[in-house]
Amino acid sequence: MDSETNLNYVKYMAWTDDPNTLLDELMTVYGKEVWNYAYSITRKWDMADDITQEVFIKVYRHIDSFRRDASVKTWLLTITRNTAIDFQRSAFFRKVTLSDWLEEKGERRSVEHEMMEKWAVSEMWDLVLKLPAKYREAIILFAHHQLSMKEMADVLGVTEGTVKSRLFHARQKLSKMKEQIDHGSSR
Amino acid sequence: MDPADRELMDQLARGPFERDGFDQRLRRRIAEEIGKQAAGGAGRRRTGASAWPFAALASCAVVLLAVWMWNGQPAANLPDQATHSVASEEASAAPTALTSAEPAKKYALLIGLRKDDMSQAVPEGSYRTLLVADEEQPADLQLIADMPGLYMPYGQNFWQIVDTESPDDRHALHAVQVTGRGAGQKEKDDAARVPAYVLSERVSYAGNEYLSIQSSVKDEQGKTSERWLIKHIGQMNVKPDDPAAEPYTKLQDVLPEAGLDLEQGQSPQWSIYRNPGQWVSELYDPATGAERMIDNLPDNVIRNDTLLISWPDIEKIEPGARDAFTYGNVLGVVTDKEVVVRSMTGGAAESVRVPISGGESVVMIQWAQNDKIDYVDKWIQDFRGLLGN
Repeated sequence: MDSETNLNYVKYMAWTDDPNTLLDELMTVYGKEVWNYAYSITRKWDMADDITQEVFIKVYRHIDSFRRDASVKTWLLTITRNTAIDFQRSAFFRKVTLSDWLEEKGERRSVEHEMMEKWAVSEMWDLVLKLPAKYREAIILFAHHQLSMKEMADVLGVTEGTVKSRLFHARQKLSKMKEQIDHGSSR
Repeated sequence: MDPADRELMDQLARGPFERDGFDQRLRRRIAEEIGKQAAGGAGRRRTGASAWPFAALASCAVVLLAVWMWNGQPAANLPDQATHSVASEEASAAPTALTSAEPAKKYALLIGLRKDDMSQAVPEGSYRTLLVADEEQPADLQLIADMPGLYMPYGQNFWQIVDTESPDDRHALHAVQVTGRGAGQKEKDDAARVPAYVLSERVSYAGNEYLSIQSSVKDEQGKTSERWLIKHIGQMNVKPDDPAAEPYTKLQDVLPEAGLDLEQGQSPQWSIYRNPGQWVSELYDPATGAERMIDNLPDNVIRNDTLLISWPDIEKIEPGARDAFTYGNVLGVVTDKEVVVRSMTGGAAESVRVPISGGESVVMIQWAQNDKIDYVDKWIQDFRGLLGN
């Protein structure tokens, strides 16, 4: 089933009164996208699991508020982002991400980071996941989730101009990182 | 399409890992959790290690709530922070769903608006508070109060943020308890002074415990400048003559790890203000002019700030939306002309519309629900008392 057919099917399903069936369909079609986006924000496997669980519980509860003329994917990614931000505000997340902060300052490398490099499916994913958060999100929404500029702006809560600017800077940073690798100075 | 973009899309088309994060194990876990919640179980929203802080907080809240219920309302005066934060947490503890499989709840939404008088040498703020609540039953939103002044819930009571004017037309803000046993303190609090260095103070954010205050101040040479500080409500009435002695809440006080990237002894200004759909916090170093956005603020500083409907959907519901907020089954939208509050389960006709003027901006959004204690009814009765009804 292509994504357009998926979308139409899910919209059709939203007319039904069976939230369990719709939830099942949404998880089939969008589960991976939700998890990947949650992971790209947090870069933590367990937390991506927790966020994904929370997202689909919210979806189950909000099924009545889903608008059939809206983009399902944008709706889900918006909920995913908001949920991830909620998690980031929690005391536990602040505690564990202290290591991220140190890592980004170049003072240590976390176990998560080692795992990320080991398991990353491609060098490009490896590089993208090392980008600062706002550039990482923009490039992943663009290239992995393949949203339009307007959809990205909606999910991120910024203007399309800001999205373009972030993409521009993300590409520049990726290009520099690749150059450093090519010259053998990165690792 | 740019070939470089095409290459990027090709390389990122698959997920980040060979192994899918969203697997059958996670899918089963979600289905089981929903099944438990639908069956009326306590539910386990968060799993594994990330669950314990919430459980611990909930346990503390229940214990402190029990103590409060046994002792009656807390004493007057600006109270102990730990004790009084409990009721605010209870009053707005956290459903984040727009529609719920749980029994229907009643909700209350308190909105604070500020309008600046820019005709003065130093801008002065005037405030308005709106209370919209399900009065009799769920999805029965009514405008309960539309009154001048900024009234924020803190602990079990409401506090008014009062603008005190000096004889030479300078302004400072004070916190005055206006409901509950401490309401009689008003005369004493009104005697609060406006320090010589303060020209004006305005609220850009009022939360459950903390306020973001924008001040115009002057130094000994008469040079004026702007200052942005976060104050706990208990710090609002301490107005020393020496600006260096004025109490405020440092970012490190609420977010200890933020201190990691501050220079030794450095304590930059910070503020919280409204952006469309969310509160944002910014750190500002007047010495260098450097600015930095702050996230990860704890719940006692910013709470219930998750927007669960996408902007395109909000714009379809309320064309011209320039701000929006959600909680439980309630959606609030601000346009150029009005604040619209509607229940998402009550149909399109169920909305409350309050006209606003162009210069009014949102400085407070507080939520309550009928839970173990019916805070919706308590807020309604408190405001009826303030209105003299």
